Amino acid sequence: MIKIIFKTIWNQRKQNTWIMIELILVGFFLWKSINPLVGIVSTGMVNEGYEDSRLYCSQFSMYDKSSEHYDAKTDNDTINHDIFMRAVNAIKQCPEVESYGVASGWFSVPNSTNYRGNSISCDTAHHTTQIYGMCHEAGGDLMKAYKFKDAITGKTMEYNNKISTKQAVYISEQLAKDIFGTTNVIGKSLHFEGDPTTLKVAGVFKEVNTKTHTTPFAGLTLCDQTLKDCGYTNAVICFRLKEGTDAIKFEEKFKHHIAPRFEVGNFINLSLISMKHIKKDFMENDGINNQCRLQIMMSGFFLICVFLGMVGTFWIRCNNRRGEIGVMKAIGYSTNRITTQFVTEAFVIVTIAFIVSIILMLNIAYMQDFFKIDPVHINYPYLSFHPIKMFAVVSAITYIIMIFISLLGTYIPVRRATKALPADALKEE
Amino acid sequence: MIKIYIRQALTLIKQNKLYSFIYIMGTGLSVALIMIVFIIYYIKFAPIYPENNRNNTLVFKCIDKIDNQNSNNSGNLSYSLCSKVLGNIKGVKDIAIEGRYSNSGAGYVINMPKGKDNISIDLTHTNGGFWKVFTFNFISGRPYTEANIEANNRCAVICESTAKAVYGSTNVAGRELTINGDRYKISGVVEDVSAAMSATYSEVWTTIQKDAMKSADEDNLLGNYSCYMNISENSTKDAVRSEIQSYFKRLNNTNKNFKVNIMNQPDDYWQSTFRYWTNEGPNINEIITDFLIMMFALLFVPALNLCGLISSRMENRLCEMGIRKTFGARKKSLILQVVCENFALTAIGAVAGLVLSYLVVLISSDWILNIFSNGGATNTHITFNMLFNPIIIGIAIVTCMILNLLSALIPASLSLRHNIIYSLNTKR
Repeated sequence: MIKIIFKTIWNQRKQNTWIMIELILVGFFLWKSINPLVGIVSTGMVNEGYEDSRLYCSQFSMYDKSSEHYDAKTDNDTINHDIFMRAVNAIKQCPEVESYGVASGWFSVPNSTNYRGNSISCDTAHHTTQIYGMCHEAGGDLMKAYKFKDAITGKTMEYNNKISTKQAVYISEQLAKDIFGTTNVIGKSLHFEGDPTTLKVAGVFKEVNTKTHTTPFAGLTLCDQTLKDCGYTNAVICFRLKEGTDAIKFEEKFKHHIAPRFEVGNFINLSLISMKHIKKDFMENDGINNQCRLQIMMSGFFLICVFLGMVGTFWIRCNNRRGEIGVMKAIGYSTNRITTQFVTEAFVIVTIAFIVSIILMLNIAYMQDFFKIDPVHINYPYLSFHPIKMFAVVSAITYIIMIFISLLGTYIPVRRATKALPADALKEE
Repeated sequence: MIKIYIRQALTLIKQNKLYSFIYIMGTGLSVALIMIVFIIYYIKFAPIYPENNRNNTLVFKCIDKIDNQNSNNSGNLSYSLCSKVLGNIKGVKDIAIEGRYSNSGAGYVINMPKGKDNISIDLTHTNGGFWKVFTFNFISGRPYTEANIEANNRCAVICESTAKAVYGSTNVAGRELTINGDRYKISGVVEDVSAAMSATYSEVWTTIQKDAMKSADEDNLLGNYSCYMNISENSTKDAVRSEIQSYFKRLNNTNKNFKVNIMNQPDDYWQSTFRYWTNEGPNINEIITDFLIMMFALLFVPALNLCGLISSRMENRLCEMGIRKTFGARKKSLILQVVCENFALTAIGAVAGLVLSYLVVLISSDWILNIFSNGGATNTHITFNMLFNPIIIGIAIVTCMILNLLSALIPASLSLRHNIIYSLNTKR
């Protein structure tokens, strides 16, 4: 049958040329459209290293000096600290709250658009790191609230009380490996660039992706900061509700009964926002959703084009070949045999076109440095950091989609054509 | 003759329903996607309320300050850089200074009386010139002025929907409004602005306060503001641009402690829509190349699809063409016939595509207008002028013509190369 198929394809080369050129172009553009989608989706599939369910963030606003409500008498650290801590305690004492911690600013909250980074070093080795600040003095445990996992035990991370708060830093697994070559590094010394203070590793947690669906720029480091240093309107109270808590009821309670109690001094408007909401906003504002939408639209367009092209061409071709189909049926070919022949024809055309387009894509990817990778990222599990695997996955997905759509576009007209009686079909001959 | 071709085309549509359906759908889809792209860019670039002066506007948003240690500090502009330097450049008629900063992490809320929930709003701080550069329609009251800024008055202009949400009426000029605990006097109420208008969109605009004019930057260059400059009639954008660039050149030459990189600013309005980061400018060549590749994909893939269809059908009609040739028809007139027949189908597809593109843009206006940008925006409403205008309709017609010529000319010419005997023999 294969011989007959190749002969048929060759005999109809003129008609096949159009569909072949279209398939090569579609293969190329489809690959380009699917590539960023695969990057985003595969990154989103990697464990983010924290849990976003039932996680909330709360932050104060304050009247500033330009406001007519500004009260200079109450604007001192003692009063501000006292009001802030009263709010923290009120949240902590809510029966619905499971755990809490205070982050030093939005840059210390996952999926925030703010970012703080520095270079961290041990002796001469310098490594770029993202920094989260946590206010230990406000009580609670930020890592426990986020549910970071200990890289060694796999349990939820907790503060290490054996190392003084001011000196303690917690680093991510890959950062520990990059700096020390191992994760067993508790007690080892580190320091930030431009700051001579010696810090000690108090814990190592499993990799955290601080920006959802985006590959991380660097490993993460958590260190302590005082409330006064970070500012009372920058500090973010993060807390997790107990499982089974009615989130809507709690939000109502917070809005009407908890937040208004702290509109004293210069403090106003204790806001509440869920991590799910922060994540959604991040995906919207960082362009992740827009990129997905654009690529899906483009891929959908190319696929519909392929489908219509296949259906149209094969429909007309089947009609032209009704006589041939009649002869095939008259000499005993079953409907399935005829369908298989036509579908295999489409399969061969798509495969040849795909091979050509993938060779084209391979060259362009090479020219655009697709296969170049920063050695720092080589050990991360994200597919985007492994270009050969990425190329193979995207190519496989492109091929499967093209095959599926083109076979569907062929099967429908062929099946319809083979339903005609041999006598009717032979009239065409 | 054309009438006969069109009548023949309509008969062929009735005879070959599937072919016609596939042809119209293929064309419609292609035109729809191309039109969506053009509508998005039209709304991004064209003069639309209240940014009717876009073609006569230069935009300066950010600078990158590099100190002697090669350390960068980039950000928006300080108020004094905007008002005292850029505002005094020769050829600048009016300057709009705007900032979207917030002192509170939770943004801005309108404080409502007890028992009512506060209303979250998008707020922009502006100078008095803002209302001259941008042409807002005032429903009641009037804009605040530079005199209000000088006097440090707290004045606000609010949009129609916010006025209705707060007071239930739009006739509220002169009344007071509390935002984050501060009282503002409402100067005026303007028609709502779509969030697609990136320079002007807001729900409330307030005067910039004296405190907020101070810059944390010791050289008084970096701050929280962007500026939009209207060019006077007796000057040109290029003249103003070179004036600004030479000012910064002089600043860099005379200053030893730092250098300022203005990243080829000020931009034309359309260029400024691609400036997402404060430390690097947009790569316009790359953006144009990407756009051309996308247009190529959207036009050529369906054109090839249609070429295949027409080519297959031309095989069936070779005999008909042979007979026409026998009676003296010239190749040109036969090609014209095929092109006209297909143009009828393409035109139907183009109308369907244009309608589809309008529907898609209207239904998904919340995100589709920002699909080529980084950020998303809610509150994006579409106005009649954004969709129904001669430019959009003209682009649809041109797209339709290109698609028709691309898809019909090549297969028609190829199949008409055969001689009469061969053509007649195909149906023997």
